[in-house]
Amino acid sequence: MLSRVADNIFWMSRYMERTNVQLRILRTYYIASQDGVPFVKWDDVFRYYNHGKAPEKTMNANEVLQFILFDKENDSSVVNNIFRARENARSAQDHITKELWQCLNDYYHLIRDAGLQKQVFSGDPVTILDQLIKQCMLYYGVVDVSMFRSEGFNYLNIGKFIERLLQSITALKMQITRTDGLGTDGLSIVSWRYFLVSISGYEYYLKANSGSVKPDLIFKQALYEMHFPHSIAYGLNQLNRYAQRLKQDSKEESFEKIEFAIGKTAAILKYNSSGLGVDAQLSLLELVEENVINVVQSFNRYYFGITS
Amino acid sequence: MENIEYFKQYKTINGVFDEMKVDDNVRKHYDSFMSAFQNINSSEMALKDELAKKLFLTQGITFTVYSSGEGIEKIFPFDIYPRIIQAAEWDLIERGIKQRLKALNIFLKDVYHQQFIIKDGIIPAALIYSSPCYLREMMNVDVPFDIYTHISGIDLIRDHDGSYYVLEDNLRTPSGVSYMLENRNISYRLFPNLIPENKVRPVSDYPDLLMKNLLGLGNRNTSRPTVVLLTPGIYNSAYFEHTTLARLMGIELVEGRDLVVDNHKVYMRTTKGLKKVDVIYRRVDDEFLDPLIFRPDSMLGVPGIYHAYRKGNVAIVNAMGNGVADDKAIYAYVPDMIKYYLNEEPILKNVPTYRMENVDEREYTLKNLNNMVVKRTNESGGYGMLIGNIATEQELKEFSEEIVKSPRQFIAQPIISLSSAPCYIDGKLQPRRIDLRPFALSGPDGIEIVPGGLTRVALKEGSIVVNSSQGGGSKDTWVVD
Repeated sequence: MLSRVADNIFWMSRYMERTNVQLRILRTYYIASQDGVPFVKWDDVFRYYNHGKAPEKTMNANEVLQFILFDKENDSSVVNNIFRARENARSAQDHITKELWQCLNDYYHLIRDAGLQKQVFSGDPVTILDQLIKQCMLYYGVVDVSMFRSEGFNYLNIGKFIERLLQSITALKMQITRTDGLGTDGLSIVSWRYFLVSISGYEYYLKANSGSVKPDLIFKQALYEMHFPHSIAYGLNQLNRYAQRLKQDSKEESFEKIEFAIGKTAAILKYNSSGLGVDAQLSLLELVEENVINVVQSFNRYYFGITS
Repeated sequence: MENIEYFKQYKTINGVFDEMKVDDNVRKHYDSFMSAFQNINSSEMALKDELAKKLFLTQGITFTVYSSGEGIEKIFPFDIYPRIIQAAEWDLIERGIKQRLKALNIFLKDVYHQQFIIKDGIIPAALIYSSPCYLREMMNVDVPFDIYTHISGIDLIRDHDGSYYVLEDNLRTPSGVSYMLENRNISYRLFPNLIPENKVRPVSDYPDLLMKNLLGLGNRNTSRPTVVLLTPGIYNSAYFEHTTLARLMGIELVEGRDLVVDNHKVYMRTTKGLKKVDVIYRRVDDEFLDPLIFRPDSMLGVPGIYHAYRKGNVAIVNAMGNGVADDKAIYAYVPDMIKYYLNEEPILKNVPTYRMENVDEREYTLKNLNNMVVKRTNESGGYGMLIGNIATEQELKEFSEEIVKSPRQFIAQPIISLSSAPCYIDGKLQPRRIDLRPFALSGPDGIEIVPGGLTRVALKEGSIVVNSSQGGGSKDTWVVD
């Protein structure tokens, strides 16, 4: 496979995963705001998506959602994610299926629909978020059903799990900062519950730990639970799985670099204890994050032909 | 059911050959389709028209137009009413194109080797050497199987008496074939069963024929040749076509930056290292192909590719330097080429063409500019054209001055009254001017032409310019037995 095309597929997948995670977090956050939960601060959300820049005036939920979902001037907006995913798909059209291309093309036309954008202001934003999340689900379904299990499929999954890892780490870091660690006061518990919902882990948690919501158990699930698709351990395991499949299509020295980088990240997660303090937890997450970024750089260098 | 008298409402243009209507009757080969069309009520028809637009958009069959720095994706307008050609007529077209391509291909070999046609005084040497598309770098380069014009898109028009004329020979990187394929796909979605009922000849084997030829070129060096399609990239207006063809042939779609030349061999950069490339179907123009030989500022091509080609280490399709054969000034000599190389009378006519470097013809043109179409010899896509009968006084003056200043850059032709075909516009059938671009494939086994092609339509009322860049659209082309 062409190095450029591998890179295109990798990024197409990353943008789609990023979109999915962002939409779910936003949906949960919006619902929490409607529930009147006090930790919801839309100005902070605006800052996060606008490189730390404060809004000129206090912004309500609908304005911030409009900014995050549809603002083309906002580099991190969902519409820009979809646009970039589609552009990457366009450049890799001979390695993705026609169904997948059409699915992304549909998403592009959907998100540019003026009626949809209007509804965020005048209608129910959850309906819009659900519609966009549904299109993400369609994307995953089309990938699963139509994509041939060749090299491209591996890069697609590698991109997906790298992005999921980075998004999960960021979300966890923000959650820890927000609740000042694994505090067990009432507000922290509520906040951790919404966090679990946002990463699709609430039902799973209840099944394993019925009757009590404990931040340390949620933290553990988000870090180590191998059957939970948004945990760091699961992400690393899947990343390794798809990287291993590249072995036959790789130069030996390239594969060794990747295998080492992923193995090192998994070892850090496994053998470093996070402890109970906020700093220790953040430090572990940052170490894992740093190593995931090293994996990305190895792919850039040894597979995608990007040297800088 | 609502009875729509589409046919009765249809008014042809005076003095123009209509593809469907003659006197007050439907031509025989349109009869079956027209009968079925009459039975579709107006609301159903509106839905079909809407469905066609939706299908093009959802499938991403678009081209990009840039304005104010923002890319706007547009659908190439599609008219749902097909253009129908009867088999006997198609036979003439097919024979005519084959004859023409045979001569043009010999001409290209001759002009880059012994140059008998110049020595025998058939074509003036000055005309050849002054063509900006004539590549001295191609002199004495042997191309595989002596084929230069692997893919050609010959533009045909019909005059008021219905006779076919060749308007242009597109021998460089002709585009539009993906629309031919997609138009057919849309047609059977719009009119279920009508294609088999009308015994329409299929066009879907075009990618297979092309791939067979590409592999045939690569087989000289290896039993498993690697074929790639070289595109300028996603911002090229024909990028959709490039992806479609690469997908349908199962080959890599590469950009210049994906290829590298080492020791006069071409490789592509893959995740597993470099992989040798044997055949390149390029959609990058000559001047951008190799910055070491042609335009040094080009980022689209591959440094060193020319010498790899020259040494025979890679086949490039179409060959470089073909532009000299479809230069509009050289076009006038194609009938002479046919007689000279093949000793045959041309089956398809040329549009009478006045050469501006010839004093008599220039004077005649300048006197009769109102009744002429003037074209720049090195422009395409409907750009750089003057249509005398609709031009302003200022435009006529400007063109006259430019012709006098640099006669080699212009040709003139009488205004041909392009034939019309019914188009479904605003809920009724209306006549619009059309042309036809059949696609011919030349390979080691000979020339093959897919029955059909791209019918382009001047959708603007009264217009005779069919180019998509000038507001033209297209329709499906059916060849029926």
